[in-house]
Amino acid sequence: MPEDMLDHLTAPTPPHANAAHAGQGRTTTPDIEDRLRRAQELGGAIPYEWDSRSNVLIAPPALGRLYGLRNGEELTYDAVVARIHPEDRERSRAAHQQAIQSGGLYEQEYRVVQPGGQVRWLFVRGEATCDANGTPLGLAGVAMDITARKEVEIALRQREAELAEREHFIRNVLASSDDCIKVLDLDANLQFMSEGGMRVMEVDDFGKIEGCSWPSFWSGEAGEKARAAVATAKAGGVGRFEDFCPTLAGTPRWWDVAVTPIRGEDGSVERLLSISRDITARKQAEDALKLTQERVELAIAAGKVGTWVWDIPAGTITADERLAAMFGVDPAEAARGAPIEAFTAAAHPEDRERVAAIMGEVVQRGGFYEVEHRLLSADGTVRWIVARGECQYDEAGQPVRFPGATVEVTDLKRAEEARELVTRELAHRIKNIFAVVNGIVAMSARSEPEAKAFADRLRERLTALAQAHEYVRPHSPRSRNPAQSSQTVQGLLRMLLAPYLQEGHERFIIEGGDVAIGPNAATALALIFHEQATNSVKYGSLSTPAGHVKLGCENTGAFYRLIWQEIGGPPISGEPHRRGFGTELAARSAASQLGGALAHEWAESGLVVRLSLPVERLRA
Amino acid sequence: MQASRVLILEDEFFVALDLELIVQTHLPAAQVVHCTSVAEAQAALQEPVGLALLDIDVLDGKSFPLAKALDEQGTPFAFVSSSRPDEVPSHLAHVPFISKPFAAPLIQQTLQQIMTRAEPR
Repeated sequence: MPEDMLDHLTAPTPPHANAAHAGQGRTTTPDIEDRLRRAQELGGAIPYEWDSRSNVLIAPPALGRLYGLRNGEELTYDAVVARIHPEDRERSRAAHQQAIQSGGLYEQEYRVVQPGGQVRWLFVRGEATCDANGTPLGLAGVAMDITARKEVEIALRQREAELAEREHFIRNVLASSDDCIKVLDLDANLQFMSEGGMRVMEVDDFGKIEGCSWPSFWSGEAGEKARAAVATAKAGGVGRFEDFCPTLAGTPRWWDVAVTPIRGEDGSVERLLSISRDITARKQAEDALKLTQERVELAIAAGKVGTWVWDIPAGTITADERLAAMFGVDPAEAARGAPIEAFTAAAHPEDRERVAAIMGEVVQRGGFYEVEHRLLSADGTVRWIVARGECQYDEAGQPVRFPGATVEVTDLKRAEEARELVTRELAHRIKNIFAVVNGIVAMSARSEPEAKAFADRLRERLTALAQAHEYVRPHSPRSRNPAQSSQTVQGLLRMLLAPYLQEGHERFIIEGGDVAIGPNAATALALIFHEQATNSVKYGSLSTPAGHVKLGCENTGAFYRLIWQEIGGPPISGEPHRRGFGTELAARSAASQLGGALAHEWAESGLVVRLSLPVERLRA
Repeated sequence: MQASRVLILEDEFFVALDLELIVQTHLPAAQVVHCTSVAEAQAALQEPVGLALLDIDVLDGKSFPLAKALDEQGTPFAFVSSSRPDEVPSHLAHVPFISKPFAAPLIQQTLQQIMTRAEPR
C-alpha cells in the first residue's frame, strides 16, 4: 500500500530534523540526502519544502511535473496551488495554514488539473517546519500521484454502491413477497430466509432455525415429498409439491413448494432455492367447492334431478345422464348436446303444446319457468315430471341460454291422486249424509202435513249448509275449480244464490271488493244469506218477477262490509212485528260466530241489511 | 207427455224415498220404479220408462253405461249425485246434474225442464 510505503519513507525524517534541511540545498550529507531523494522519487514520492514566510518552494522538477506545470514554468508555491482542482484548492490551503499554525502533521488528498485538462489525484503528506524557537517556518513533505489507486477506489466504491443498491432492491423484493423464499445448502439446511418468508412462516428470529434441515419441518409424507424435491433440484431439475405444514407459531398452512438449483460460475449446483407459497385460502376454497359439489351431486342423485342447458341459438340441449334417462335420450348424445326435438318428442302428446307455449312465453318475456307435464316413453309408460328453469339473455337482450332442472314426480303425483280420491270420497259421503238427512226430514213431515213448511225450511237450511261445506272443503290443486284460486265471500254467495237465479234475468248484482273466507265463517255466512234469500223470495223483492237484490261489498282491510239491498219488491210498511227464526239465527250467528254486526233497515222501497265483519274472523 | 213410468236409481233408501215423494208430488199419475243397482235398473228398462233420475255411484258401480243407453233412446233423465259434475264423461256432459243434497224445488224444476225438452221428439 502506498501509505505504508510513505510511512516507511518519511519515518527517517523526524520533525525536528526538518529544520536542518530547511535551507536551500544546504545539506550536511549531500550524498545521503540525494540518495534519499532518489529513493523517494523512485517510490513515486516527490519531496518538497516550502517556506511560508518567503513563499519559496524547494523541490525537484519532478514536483512540477506532478502538478502538471508546463515546461519552463517556474516551480513556485502559487504555481503549484493554482494547479489544484478548484473544488479542492481552498481545503488544501486551509490545511496548510492549519498545519503551519499548529505545527503538526498534515496529510491530504486532492486533485490537480493537468494542462490537457485531465485530473490526477495527489497524496500529500508533510509537517510544519520550525526555527530553533519553535516558530513555524513552513512545510516539508512529499507528494505522490495516487490517481491509479484513487480510480480503483472510486470504481470500488461505485461498485459497492451498486451492489448495495442491488442488494437493497433484492431485499425489498424478497421482503415484499409473501412467498417464503429460502436458500438451502446442498444438505438442505437453511441458510437464508426472506423477510416476507419469515412473516408468513411466523419466524421471529431466523437465528433459531438457521442451519436446520429444511425437509425436517415437513412431517410424514410431506417430508418425503420435501426430500424428493431437494433431490430433484440437486440433480438440476425443479422439485415441486403441495402439502401441509404448520408455521413455527403452529398456524395450519398449505404450501405450494418449488425447489430449484442455484448454480455457481462453473455451472455446478452450489445451493438450492426453495420458494413456498401459502395456498391455504385456495385449498380451503377448493375443499369448500368440493364439498358443495359433492352435496349438489348427492342432492341431484338422491332427488333424481336431471339438469339441462338449452343452447337457444344452436337449438340443442346439453343434459346429464339422469335427464337423458328420463327422456329416453342417449346419454352420450345428451352430454354432447342433442337437438331439442329429441327431448320435446318425449313429452306426452297431450302436454306438448302447452309445454312449448309456456317455454316460448318465458323465452319471450323472461321470468321463471316452471311446468308440470307427462312424459310418454316408447313402451307406453306415463311419468310425471316438474321442470324448472330460467332464460338468460346476452347484452343485446337476445335469449341465449336456458338452464334448468327436471325432477320426476310420478310417485308424488300418484300420492296426490290417492289423497284426492280419499278427499273426494269423503266429500261424497258428507253430501250423501246431508241428502239422507233431508230424506228423513221429508219422510217425517209426510206423516204430519202441518210440519211440511217447517220441514221444507229445515232442508233448505241444511242444503245451504252442505253447499257452504262443499265450497270451502280442502281442495287439492286438481279438484279446485281452476277459475277460483281461493275461496272468497263472493264466490260463496254466487254459489248459494245460484238457485234463485232465473235465466235471462239478473236477480243479484254483486259489486265491490272481495275477501278470502275460511270454513267456519263460510257456514255462518251461508246460513245468514240463505235466510235473507228465502225471506226475500217470500216477502221481498225476489217475490216479484222484476225485483232484484243489489249486494254491495267493501273491503276496508280490517272490516268487510256487505250491504244487501232489495230493489223492485213490494213496498214495505215498516219493521215486522214478529222476528222470524231465520232473522234471529242470522243476527246471532253474525255476532257470535263472525264477531260482526247485522242491521236491518226497513225502508219503504225495500229492505236494506248491513253486515260488517272483521276480515280476520272471516279467514277462520 | 205422460211419464207413466219413472225410474229412480238410488241405493240410499231415505234419499230414494225423498225423490219418490217429490216425483209423486209433481207427477201424481206416475208409477215410480225404484232400483238400487245398475243391473236392476237395466232389467227395469225392459219396459218403457218415460223419465229417470240416476245416482252415479250405486251398489254395482257407476251408472254411466245406463245413462248412455237412456240418452241414446231419447229418454229424458237427470243425474242426482254427490259426485262432482266434472266427473261426468264428456259425452254425457249435457245431461242435467243435481248435486246432493238437493232442494225439492230444484228437482221439480229439473223434471219440468227435461220433460219439456223431450216433448218435441
